[in-house]
Amino acid sequence: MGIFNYLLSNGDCLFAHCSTELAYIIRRAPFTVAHLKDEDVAVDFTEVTTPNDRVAIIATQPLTDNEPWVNMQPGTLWMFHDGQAETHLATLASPVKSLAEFNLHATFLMHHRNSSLI
Amino acid sequence: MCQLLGMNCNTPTDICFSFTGFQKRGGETDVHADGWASPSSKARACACSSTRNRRHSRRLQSWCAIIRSVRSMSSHTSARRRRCGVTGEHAPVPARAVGRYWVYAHNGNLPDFQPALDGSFLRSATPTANTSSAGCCRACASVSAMPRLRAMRCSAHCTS
Repeated sequence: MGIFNYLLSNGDCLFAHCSTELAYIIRRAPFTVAHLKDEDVAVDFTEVTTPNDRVAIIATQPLTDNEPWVNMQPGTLWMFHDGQAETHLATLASPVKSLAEFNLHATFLMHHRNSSLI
Repeated sequence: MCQLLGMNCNTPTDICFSFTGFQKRGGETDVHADGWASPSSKARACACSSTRNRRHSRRLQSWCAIIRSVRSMSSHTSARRRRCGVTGEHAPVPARAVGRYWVYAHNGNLPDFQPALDGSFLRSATPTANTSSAGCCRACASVSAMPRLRAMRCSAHCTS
Protein backbone atom coordinates (compact mmCIF):
# COMPACT_ATOMS: atom_id res chain seq x y z
CA MET A 1 0.00 0.00 0.00
CA GLY A 2 1.28 3.45 -0.76
CA ILE A 3 1.55 6.38 -3.13
CA PHE A 4 3.28 5.89 -6.47
CA ASN A 5 3.05 8.71 -8.98
CA TYR A 6 5.86 8.45 -11.48
CA LEU A 7 7.18 9.55 -14.86
CA LEU A 8 9.26 7.14 -16.93
CA SER A 9 10.75 7.89 -20.34
CA ASN A 10 13.10 6.17 -22.74
CA GLY A 11 13.64 9.12 -25.05
CA ASP A 12 10.80 7.96 -27.28
CA CYS A 13 7.73 7.50 -25.12
CA LEU A 14 6.86 8.99 -21.76
CA PHE A 15 4.85 6.92 -19.31
CA ALA A 16 2.99 8.65 -16.50
CA HIS A 17 1.37 6.79 -13.64
CA CYS A 18 -1.18 8.63 -11.56
CA SER A 19 -1.61 7.15 -8.12
CA THR A 20 -2.99 10.27 -6.46
CA GLU A 21 -2.38 13.40 -8.52
CA LEU A 22 -1.13 14.16 -12.05
CA ALA A 23 -2.44 16.38 -14.83
CA TYR A 24 -1.56 16.89 -18.50
CA ILE A 25 -2.24 19.21 -21.38
CA ILE A 26 -1.71 18.76 -25.12
CA ARG A 27 -0.68 21.93 -26.92
CA ARG A 28 -1.24 21.83 -30.68
CA ALA A 29 -2.44 24.14 -33.47
CA PRO A 30 -4.33 26.41 -33.24
CA PHE A 31 -2.02 27.63 -30.48
CA THR A 32 -3.11 30.27 -27.97
CA VAL A 33 -1.68 32.43 -25.22
CA ALA A 34 -0.83 30.54 -22.03
CA HIS A 35 -0.54 32.22 -18.64
CA LEU A 36 1.35 30.68 -15.73
CA LYS A 37 -0.47 30.05 -12.46
CA ASP A 38 2.60 30.57 -10.24
CA GLU A 39 3.99 33.69 -11.87
CA ASP A 40 2.58 36.50 -14.00
CA VAL A 41 4.18 35.28 -17.21
CA ALA A 42 2.41 34.59 -20.49
CA VAL A 43 3.57 33.19 -23.81
CA ASP A 44 1.84 33.46 -27.16
CA PHE A 45 2.60 30.05 -28.63
CA THR A 46 1.50 31.16 -32.09
CA GLU A 47 4.74 33.14 -32.29
CA VAL A 48 7.10 30.33 -31.28
CA THR A 49 5.60 27.25 -32.92
CA THR A 50 4.82 25.79 -36.32
CA PRO A 51 1.40 24.32 -37.24
CA ASN A 52 2.77 20.78 -37.01
CA ASP A 53 4.15 21.10 -33.47
CA ARG A 54 2.51 19.11 -30.74
CA VAL A 55 3.60 19.09 -27.10
CA ALA A 56 2.34 17.16 -24.09
CA ILE A 57 3.12 18.64 -20.68
CA ILE A 58 2.58 16.45 -17.63
CA ALA A 59 2.76 17.93 -14.12
CA THR A 60 1.68 17.12 -10.60
CA GLN A 61 -0.57 20.17 -10.65
CA PRO A 62 -1.61 22.35 -13.65
CA LEU A 63 0.98 25.01 -14.42
CA THR A 64 -1.25 27.47 -16.29
CA ASP A 65 -4.60 28.98 -15.33
CA ASN A 66 -6.18 29.54 -18.76
CA GLU A 67 -5.76 26.17 -20.46
CA PRO A 68 -7.89 23.00 -20.30
CA TRP A 69 -5.64 20.70 -18.24
CA VAL A 70 -6.84 17.12 -17.90
CA ASN A 71 -6.64 15.67 -14.40
CA MET A 72 -5.64 12.05 -14.69
CA GLN A 73 -7.86 9.61 -12.84
CA PRO A 74 -5.99 8.11 -9.85
CA GLY A 75 -5.13 4.54 -10.78
CA THR A 76 -4.26 5.09 -14.44
CA LEU A 77 -1.09 4.60 -16.47
CA TRP A 78 -0.70 6.84 -19.53
CA MET A 79 1.61 6.56 -22.53
CA PHE A 80 2.59 9.77 -24.37
CA HIS A 81 4.26 9.66 -27.77
CA ASP A 82 4.91 12.44 -30.30
CA GLY A 83 3.18 14.93 -28.05
CA GLN A 84 -0.10 13.15 -27.56
CA ALA A 85 -1.66 10.68 -25.16
CA GLU A 86 -1.68 7.45 -27.14
CA THR A 87 -3.26 5.10 -24.65
CA HIS A 88 -3.93 4.52 -21.00
CA LEU A 89 -4.55 1.54 -18.77
CA ALA A 90 -6.29 1.10 -15.44
CA THR A 91 -4.04 0.32 -12.47
CA LEU A 92 -4.56 0.76 -8.74
CA ALA A 93 -5.24 4.11 -7.14
CA SER A 94 -3.57 4.93 -3.86
CA PRO A 95 -5.89 4.36 -0.88
CA VAL A 96 -4.55 7.59 0.64
CA LYS A 97 -4.32 11.02 -0.95
CA SER A 98 -1.18 12.40 0.70
CA LEU A 99 1.88 11.38 2.70
CA ALA A 100 0.32 12.94 5.82
CA GLU A 101 -2.77 10.76 5.39
CA PHE A 102 -0.50 7.81 4.65
CA ASN A 103 1.46 8.32 7.90
CA LEU A 104 -1.79 8.55 9.88
CA HIS A 105 -2.98 5.32 8.28
CA ALA A 106 0.36 3.58 9.01
CA THR A 107 0.24 4.72 12.64
CA PHE A 108 -3.32 3.41 12.97
CA LEU A 109 -2.32 0.05 11.49
CA MET A 110 0.68 -0.21 13.82
CA HIS A 111 -1.51 0.46 16.88
CA HIS A 112 -4.09 -2.03 15.62
CA ARG A 113 -1.37 -4.66 15.09
CA ASN A 114 0.12 -4.05 18.53
CA SER A 115 -3.27 -4.23 20.28
CA SER A 116 -4.00 -7.50 18.46
CA LEU A 117 -0.81 -9.00 19.85
CA ILE A 118 -1.66 -8.11 23.44
CA MET B 1 6.21 15.01 -1.36
CA CYS B 2 7.94 16.31 -4.43
CA GLN B 3 6.30 17.49 -7.63
CA LEU B 4 6.89 16.14 -11.12
CA LEU B 5 7.07 17.78 -14.53
CA GLY B 6 7.44 15.98 -17.84
CA MET B 7 7.29 16.87 -21.52
CA ASN B 8 6.85 14.78 -24.64
CA CYS B 9 6.64 16.35 -28.09
CA ASN B 10 6.95 15.60 -31.79
CA THR B 11 9.67 18.17 -32.45
CA PRO B 12 12.59 19.37 -30.28
CA THR B 13 11.21 21.96 -27.88
CA ASP B 14 12.50 23.69 -24.76
CA ILE B 15 10.58 23.39 -21.52
CA CYS B 16 11.54 26.87 -20.36
CA PHE B 17 8.01 28.31 -20.07
CA SER B 18 6.64 25.43 -18.01
CA PHE B 19 9.78 25.28 -15.89
CA THR B 20 9.45 29.00 -15.13
CA GLY B 21 6.22 28.30 -13.29
CA PHE B 22 7.40 24.97 -11.95
CA GLN B 23 10.52 26.37 -10.33
CA LYS B 24 8.38 28.88 -8.40
CA ARG B 25 6.99 25.93 -6.47
CA GLY B 26 10.51 25.25 -5.23
CA GLY B 27 10.14 27.41 -2.16
CA GLU B 28 8.09 30.42 -3.32
CA THR B 29 4.55 29.35 -4.18
CA ASP B 30 5.02 25.88 -2.63
CA VAL B 31 7.32 24.11 -0.20
CA HIS B 32 9.42 21.91 -2.46
CA ALA B 33 12.77 23.51 -1.76
CA ASP B 34 15.06 20.62 -0.91
CA GLY B 35 16.48 19.88 -4.31
CA TRP B 36 16.05 19.76 -8.04
CA ALA B 37 16.86 17.45 -10.89
CA SER B 38 16.25 17.60 -14.60
CA PRO B 39 17.13 14.90 -17.10
CA SER B 40 16.67 15.38 -20.79
CA SER B 41 16.86 12.99 -23.70
CA LYS B 42 17.38 13.47 -27.39
CA ALA B 43 17.54 10.61 -29.84
CA ARG B 44 18.92 7.78 -27.66
CA ALA B 45 21.17 9.94 -25.50
CA CYS B 46 20.33 11.14 -22.02
CA ALA B 47 21.75 13.90 -19.82
CA CYS B 48 20.90 14.71 -16.22
CA SER B 49 21.51 17.76 -14.04
CA SER B 50 20.66 18.06 -10.36
CA THR B 51 21.19 20.29 -7.34
CA ARG B 52 20.33 20.29 -3.66
CA ASN B 53 20.19 24.05 -3.42
CA ARG B 54 17.02 26.01 -4.14
CA ARG B 55 19.08 28.98 -5.33
CA HIS B 56 20.50 26.82 -8.08
CA SER B 57 17.10 26.32 -9.69
CA ARG B 58 17.95 29.27 -11.95
CA ARG B 59 20.89 27.29 -13.26
CA LEU B 60 18.57 24.43 -14.03
CA GLN B 61 16.28 26.88 -15.79
CA SER B 62 19.22 27.96 -17.92
CA TRP B 63 19.94 24.31 -18.61
CA CYS B 64 16.33 23.79 -19.68
CA ALA B 65 16.50 26.84 -21.92
CA ILE B 66 19.68 25.69 -23.61
CA ILE B 67 18.51 22.19 -24.35
CA ARG B 68 15.84 21.78 -26.96
CA SER B 69 14.70 18.29 -26.35
CA VAL B 70 12.02 15.93 -27.52
CA ARG B 71 11.48 14.55 -24.01
CA SER B 72 12.25 16.26 -20.76
CA MET B 73 11.46 15.67 -17.12
CA SER B 74 11.94 17.57 -13.88
CA SER B 75 11.23 17.11 -10.23
CA HIS B 76 11.70 19.12 -7.10
CA THR B 77 11.89 17.61 -3.70
CA SER B 78 10.51 18.33 -0.28
CA ALA B 79 12.22 16.09 2.27
CA ARG B 80 9.83 15.66 5.17
CA ARG B 81 10.94 12.66 7.12
CA ARG B 82 14.67 12.45 6.53
CA ARG B 83 17.46 13.85 4.49
CA CYS B 84 16.73 13.27 0.86
CA GLY B 85 19.48 13.31 -1.70
CA VAL B 86 18.68 14.75 -5.07
CA THR B 87 20.27 11.79 -6.77
CA GLY B 88 18.62 9.55 -4.22
CA GLU B 89 15.13 8.35 -3.89
CA HIS B 90 12.82 10.72 -5.67
CA ALA B 91 14.79 12.60 -8.28
CA PRO B 92 14.97 11.63 -11.94
CA VAL B 93 17.64 9.01 -12.51
CA PRO B 94 18.82 7.29 -15.66
CA ALA B 95 19.02 3.51 -16.01
CA ARG B 96 19.92 1.42 -19.02
CA ALA B 97 17.57 -1.40 -20.01
CA VAL B 98 16.56 -3.20 -23.20
CA GLY B 99 19.10 -1.22 -25.18
CA ARG B 100 17.78 2.20 -24.16
CA TYR B 101 18.41 4.78 -21.47
CA TRP B 102 15.40 5.30 -19.24
CA VAL B 103 14.85 8.22 -16.92
CA TYR B 104 12.52 7.83 -14.00
CA ALA B 105 11.15 10.09 -11.29
CA HIS B 106 8.48 9.49 -8.68
CA ASN B 107 6.94 11.24 -5.72
CA GLY B 108 5.55 8.28 -3.90
CA ASN B 109 6.15 6.16 -0.88
CA LEU B 110 5.99 2.37 -1.02
CA PRO B 111 7.17 1.01 2.35
CA ASP B 112 7.52 -2.77 2.69
CA PHE B 113 6.68 -3.33 -0.97
CA GLN B 114 6.26 -7.03 -1.70
CA PRO B 115 7.71 -8.81 -3.51
CA ALA B 116 11.11 -7.14 -3.43
CA LEU B 117 12.00 -6.18 -6.99
CA ASP B 118 15.64 -6.06 -8.04
CA GLY B 119 15.34 -5.57 -11.79
CA SER B 120 16.37 -9.13 -12.57
CA PHE B 121 13.35 -9.54 -14.86
CA LEU B 122 15.06 -7.07 -17.20
CA ARG B 123 18.05 -9.09 -18.33
CA SER B 124 20.14 -6.08 -19.33
CA ALA B 125 18.95 -3.58 -16.69
CA THR B 126 21.86 -1.55 -15.36
CA PRO B 127 21.11 1.26 -12.89
CA THR B 128 23.42 4.17 -13.61
CA ALA B 129 22.76 6.03 -10.34
CA ASN B 130 21.64 5.34 -6.80
CA THR B 131 17.87 5.18 -6.76
CA SER B 132 14.90 3.41 -5.30
CA SER B 133 15.35 0.55 -7.69
CA ALA B 134 12.24 -1.23 -6.47
CA GLY B 135 10.08 1.65 -7.62
CA CYS B 136 11.88 1.91 -10.92
CA CYS B 137 11.54 -1.81 -11.52
CA ARG B 138 7.90 -1.66 -10.57
CA ALA B 139 7.42 1.12 -13.10
CA CYS B 140 9.20 -0.86 -15.82
CA ALA B 141 7.15 -3.92 -14.97
CA SER B 142 3.86 -2.05 -15.20
CA VAL B 143 4.57 -0.36 -18.51
CA SER B 144 5.92 -3.59 -20.01
CA ALA B 145 2.29 -4.70 -20.20
CA MET B 146 1.63 -2.13 -22.92
CA PRO B 147 1.62 -3.62 -26.44
CA ARG B 148 3.54 -0.66 -27.89
CA LEU B 149 6.40 -1.20 -25.44
CA ARG B 150 6.52 -4.91 -26.16
CA ALA B 151 6.99 -4.07 -29.84
CA MET B 152 9.68 -1.57 -28.93
CA ARG B 153 11.56 -4.11 -26.80
CA CYS B 154 11.52 -6.55 -29.71
CA SER B 155 12.88 -3.82 -31.94
CA ALA B 156 15.63 -2.97 -29.42
CA HIS B 157 16.73 -6.58 -29.20
CA CYS B 158 16.78 -6.88 -32.97
CA THR B 159 18.90 -3.81 -33.52
CA SER B 160 21.42 -4.37 -30.70
